[in-house]
Amino acid sequence: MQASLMWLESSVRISAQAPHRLAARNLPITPSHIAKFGDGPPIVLVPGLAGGIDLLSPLANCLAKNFRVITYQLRGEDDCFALRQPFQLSDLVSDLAEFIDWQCLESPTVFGVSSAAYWPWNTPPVTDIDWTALSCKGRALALSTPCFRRWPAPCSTVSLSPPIILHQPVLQSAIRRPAKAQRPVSFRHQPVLANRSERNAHRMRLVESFDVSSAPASHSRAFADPGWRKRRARATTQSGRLARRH
Amino acid sequence: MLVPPRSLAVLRDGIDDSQYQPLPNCGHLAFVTHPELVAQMVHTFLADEVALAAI
Repeated sequence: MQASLMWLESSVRISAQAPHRLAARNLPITPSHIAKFGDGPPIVLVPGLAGGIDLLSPLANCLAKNFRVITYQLRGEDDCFALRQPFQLSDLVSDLAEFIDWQCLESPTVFGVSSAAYWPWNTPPVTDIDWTALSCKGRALALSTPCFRRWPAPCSTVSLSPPIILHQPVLQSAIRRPAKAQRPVSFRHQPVLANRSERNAHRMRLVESFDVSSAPASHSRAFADPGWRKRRARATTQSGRLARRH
Repeated sequence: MLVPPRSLAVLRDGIDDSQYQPLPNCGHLAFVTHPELVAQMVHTFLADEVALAAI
């Protein structure tokens, strides 16, 4: 609660005082807003997905004491219509490279937080040029947070939040690795399943939370026969009509 | 980035010149809950190459 109030207060203060916040309408890419704070060596703050630049306001405030902090809104954050056109991680990386060019930054420090910290590792090999160009211009930092495998633990129990510092050679070597998260679904390991109901349960990711074998008969039957619900609805409608006639 | 601690160790070991900086009692949004601490770490890391005044 205290952190939320601090973030809210900081966001409102920065939004009201930041004179450099403007719309980047001339860009073909869609960082609809940028924000600049402070003065000094440039550092580009890259927000994570579903966070936005307002979430970076507290950190930008602190870094602005010694850096010229530049951050921008990722595509899709402010413009929901941008989500109608699917984009990939490589597009976000290209946006970042283009944004740095547009800002005429020669060697900025790039600091990605949350999911943006994963970009160097998750970038498909096709964007080699982007990352190489980007890494030659400066250095990249990434802030990552470990969590438990199943679900993020409450803040009071998570004891580690290390930033991983990526240097240029690391970026260049990391981009040559195949991107694990960019694999098509068909590449995933599929267990051998006995029947259609199990396959459907796995496909719908119901296995962990829903035991098909102990499900009601109607659910199991629906898994086994996709057209069963439609036929049952039709039969119910017909029986209702017959009942009304009589 | 949300990764289990074991994967974090792999990342740390696979990155040359990387630093592992634990932030006690912080969650995923450490840059929101503890911005001063994160800024201090960034400043410390960059201070060896960039002449900056101490925070």
